[in-house]
Amino acid sequence: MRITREFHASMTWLHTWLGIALGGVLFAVFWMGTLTVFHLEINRWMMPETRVTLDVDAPLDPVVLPRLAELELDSTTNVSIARPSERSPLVGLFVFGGESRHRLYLDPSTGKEVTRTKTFGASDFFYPFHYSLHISPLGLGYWIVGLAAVSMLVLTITGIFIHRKIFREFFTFRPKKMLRRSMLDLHNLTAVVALPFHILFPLSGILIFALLYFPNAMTSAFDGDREAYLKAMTGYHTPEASGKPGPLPASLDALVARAEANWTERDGQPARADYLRILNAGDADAAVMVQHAFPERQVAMTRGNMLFDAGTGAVLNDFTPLPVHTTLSWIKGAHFVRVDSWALRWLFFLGGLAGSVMIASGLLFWMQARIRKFHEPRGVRVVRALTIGTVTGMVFATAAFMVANRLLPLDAAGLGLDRAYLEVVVFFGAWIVAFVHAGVRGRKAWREQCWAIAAAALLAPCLNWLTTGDDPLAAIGAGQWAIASIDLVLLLSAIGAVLAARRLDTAPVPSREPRRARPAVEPAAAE
Amino acid sequence: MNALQNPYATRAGRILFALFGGYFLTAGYISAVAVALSALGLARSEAASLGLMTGMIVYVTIVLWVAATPRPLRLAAGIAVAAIGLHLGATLLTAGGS
Repeated sequence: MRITREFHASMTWLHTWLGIALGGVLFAVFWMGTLTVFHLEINRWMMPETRVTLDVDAPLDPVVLPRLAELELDSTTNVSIARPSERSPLVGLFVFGGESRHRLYLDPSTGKEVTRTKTFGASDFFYPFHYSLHISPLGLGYWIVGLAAVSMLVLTITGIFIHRKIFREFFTFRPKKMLRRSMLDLHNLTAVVALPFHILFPLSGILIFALLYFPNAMTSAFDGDREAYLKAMTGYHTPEASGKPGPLPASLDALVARAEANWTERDGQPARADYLRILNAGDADAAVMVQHAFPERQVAMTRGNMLFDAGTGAVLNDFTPLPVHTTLSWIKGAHFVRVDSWALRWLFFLGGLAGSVMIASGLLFWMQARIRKFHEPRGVRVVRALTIGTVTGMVFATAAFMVANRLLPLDAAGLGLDRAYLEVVVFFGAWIVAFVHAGVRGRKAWREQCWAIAAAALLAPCLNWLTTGDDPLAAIGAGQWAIASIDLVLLLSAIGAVLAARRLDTAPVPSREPRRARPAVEPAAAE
Repeated sequence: MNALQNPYATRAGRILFALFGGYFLTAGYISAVAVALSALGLARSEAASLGLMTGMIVYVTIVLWVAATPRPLRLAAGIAVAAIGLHLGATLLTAGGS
């Protein structure tokens, strides 16, 4: 297949159209996704009570079983237990279904409940924003993100067809040229440097929600039997409840030990169970599911899932994915990057940042190219305001969210909302203000919002030091590297925002003279 | 210039057909692969996984093809026929097998 001019032209307009239509959504998904790499660390920043180093391998039974004994459990109650880890030091105990509904975080050594600051944190705000845009009616947010993901794959491949000099573009960045030229350079550079990410992430993202987007994989191969599908693909299986009451399992630790021994023998490397579920908890036929969802030294996820009868300890189900499915689990696991490697996490964080910069610079380039071509065409004010609000506006709103987390009193409430929702109000309020500001201030809004981001990104760590006493040296001294790193990244972001603001201040403005009268532009750009 | 010659309309049309028609065909492809491989003896979870992973390649290829082809109406018809065929085939195979 030859690359003809017509083919090249079709790849170009396809890239432009999809980029404009979905660039805003893609920026949101990439930005929130980048933050989500470190969602557990950001949680600790936003909930200072969790900035502790605890004995995460302490036995579960003395912590969990007494709590469960106090609760009313019946045949439809399910209990979900998140084992603590270095990144998330508290035991999570969630009870739902039936009469009870509880969400407790317990110290793994003492079993005492830890009252966390009321916030959604990164896990319940940034993370769901990333995959569903917080648009829940009819699951519309999931579908919009899915559409953006497919488009991202198409955008990457059309991008490769358009920009053929891939190797040269690694080394081309002319920051002092016209904004349009340097934006295109930046767009190509960030695209080419992180090219494997730009293909892997949308692909794996779609596959993670495959059952939602392509339920026919289930309806066809499994005859519509959702239970059979879930059991074959994830090991999830809820046995029939007998309806008669029964006691709690005698020991969760014993079951965990048996599951871990099973997996360690199978994989030849130490396995640590991470999640447990007690299904039909109050029932005589209750079952305990022990999961190995995120292996520490493997990229593939969902490596094991064992189901035990709660009373007798008999093994009801022992799930291990088959080879092709393991490949699928690898692709999905690469997206989650829960493998225990700080190097990989930082690499993916930088990849996400590169992707965010790629999308933003692409939108900026397109806008500048249109302005140059049509000299303030109709609607450019609206397009510019939307672009600024989406890019710098969202980054500013994120910084404002973290500032609000430090400023709001612990018992804050107002407008009929509790503290966690008030932080979210600050986020969306700051975002709306950014849109309005961009509409009013026009071109100047870019640098003004960069200054605003710098101010907020500087304020957040200062407030952290003031309100918790954890300045970077103190944090490192207490072993809280995550907190020190976040503060340092915030400071670096502030510096980056200042540099961007100053660059935008001095950007050469496209000439407004008619094209005919202008002398030959940028001879160097003709290469 | 009438609506059919307007480049904005034709491009928008191609993109919409590529995304939605491509989705419909990909879904049919996934069903067909999952059912066919299961019928040939592969474990159902394996067949479904293989269908899903390769389905993404199919989807992206369709989108690029619809955008690039000099004969969009002919391709659209072909995609529609193929999609319906795949869905029907998968349904018949499932019904026949059970």
